[in-house]
Amino acid sequence: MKAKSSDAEKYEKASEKTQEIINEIRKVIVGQEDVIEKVMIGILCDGNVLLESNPGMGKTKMIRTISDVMGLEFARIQNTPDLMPSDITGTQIIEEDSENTEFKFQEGPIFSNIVLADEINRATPKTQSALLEAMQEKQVTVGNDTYKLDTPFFLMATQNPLEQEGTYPLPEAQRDRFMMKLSLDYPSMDEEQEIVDRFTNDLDYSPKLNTILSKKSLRKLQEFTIQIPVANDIRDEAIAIVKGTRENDNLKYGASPRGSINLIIAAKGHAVLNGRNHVSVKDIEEMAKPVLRHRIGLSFEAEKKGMDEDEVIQEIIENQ
Amino acid sequence: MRVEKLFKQLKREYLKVKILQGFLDGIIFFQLTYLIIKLAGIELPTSYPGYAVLAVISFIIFAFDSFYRSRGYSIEIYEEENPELAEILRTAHDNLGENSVPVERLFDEVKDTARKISSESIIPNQAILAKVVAISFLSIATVVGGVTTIHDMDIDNPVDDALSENSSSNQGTGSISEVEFGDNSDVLGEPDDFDYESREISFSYDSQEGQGFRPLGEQYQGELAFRSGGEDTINYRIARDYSLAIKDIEE
Repeated sequence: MKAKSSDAEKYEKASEKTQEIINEIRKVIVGQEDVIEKVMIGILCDGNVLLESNPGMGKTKMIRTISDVMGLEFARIQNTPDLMPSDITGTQIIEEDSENTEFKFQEGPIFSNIVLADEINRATPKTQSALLEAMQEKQVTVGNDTYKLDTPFFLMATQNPLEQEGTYPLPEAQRDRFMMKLSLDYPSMDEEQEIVDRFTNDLDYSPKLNTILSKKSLRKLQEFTIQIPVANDIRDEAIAIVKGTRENDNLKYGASPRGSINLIIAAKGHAVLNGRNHVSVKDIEEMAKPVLRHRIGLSFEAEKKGMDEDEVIQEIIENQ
Repeated sequence: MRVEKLFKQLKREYLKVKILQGFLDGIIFFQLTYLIIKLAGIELPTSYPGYAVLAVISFIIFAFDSFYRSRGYSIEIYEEENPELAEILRTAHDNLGENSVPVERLFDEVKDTARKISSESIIPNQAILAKVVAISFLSIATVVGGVTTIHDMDIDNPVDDALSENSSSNQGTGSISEVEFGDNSDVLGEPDDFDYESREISFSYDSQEGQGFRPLGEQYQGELAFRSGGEDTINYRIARDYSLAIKDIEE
């Protein structure tokens, strides 16, 4: 009974805490409110996020700041074409002492709470697929041994636009494992002025950040998020949107049922972030684009018409 | 109060409103039909009294009407009328079996918000007011219609006709100030075919010398009352003949 009332108190503070986290992040990051909010939702929903933008937009800085504010261990993997899977997962090394020699597993950078896989589309498909198990199963297998990853675990991958040279498009199966795909836009004039001011007046601009959450509190927050209730008709509307992607003429292929699951969960995260105790239709509509845009493929006709994924999703939402 | 109780209460309130509407519809049907039947002089082909038959039909209409109106109940009705309850009411309703902190918090929110609303929000006030006005109008029309029917009976009254005839035959004499009826049964015998029980014919003449008789229908409308069953015409004719015969003998 006492535990239950303590949980209720924590839940009451959930929305407040998430707002505090966002405020701390803003001490470093200028603008990009929407992306910060969506990344937060990804963390609340225990989902992986794919960030797409041109270089120099502050993706790495943003993820590092988020991990600092949330008291999580951070690791960064810079993907290159010669990166090997063992560079990510870890490898068996020989440990010798005076008496015996044995193999010991040396953990790779994947054994952290937040892993930033920078420029993931520069890695070869073999290395990219090494991340699949970690993203989905929260574990890695090296040789015959399987190692559980620390909880919470998030993979934030950044990706340069595919038109750039020397990139390997992510396989569909791997894209599907990302809960959301977010695009960072260029900042506005005012925002860019502030960014320039912040990072040109100090040699090392690193304001003191408060750690708002512990790992335990974050797990609790994730539990609350998944428990947010949703009405049957609102759930059905989310499913209808996902189903609509499979029947749309502008799309070569639509989203899988995993898309439906992720849309509902993401909507729950959006509800928590906005201090609601239930999922609203607005949450579904707001989260439809980031959750579905990387799960669908434009048809040749749609590409010829100059449409993008967001336009098709918007059209599907409006036709519901 | 548990949230389940709240949902039951909301449904009860909804049913009450629908039953009220069904009841008003039943009354309107009863009154309207009764009025039409009375004014048109329609005889229902049944041995039961007309109002009883109408009451039964009205009850059936009330029952069907209430059932039909209550059929489409859903919690969204309250949401439509109370935007502050939009989505949360049906979310709570769809998650009644759940037991988690966010769901409990949602239930609390629903209870808090629902306190501010009442069944008034789903009452179609204008429709109910219109029906009440219709019932009042029909009630007045029924009363007026009843009075009109009595007046119609007065005009066609055979006794009135008989007295009119009588007055015209005596007009100008001015000699009759009072008519006395004696016991003349020995002359005409007892009128054993005249069932006077449960019949009342009351009238009074207040005629002055020289004025003669005037039709009762004109002079004493308010004082003339009849309570009579069938065969009225025959009985009144007998009464008239009887009176005239006595008068002739006396003269």
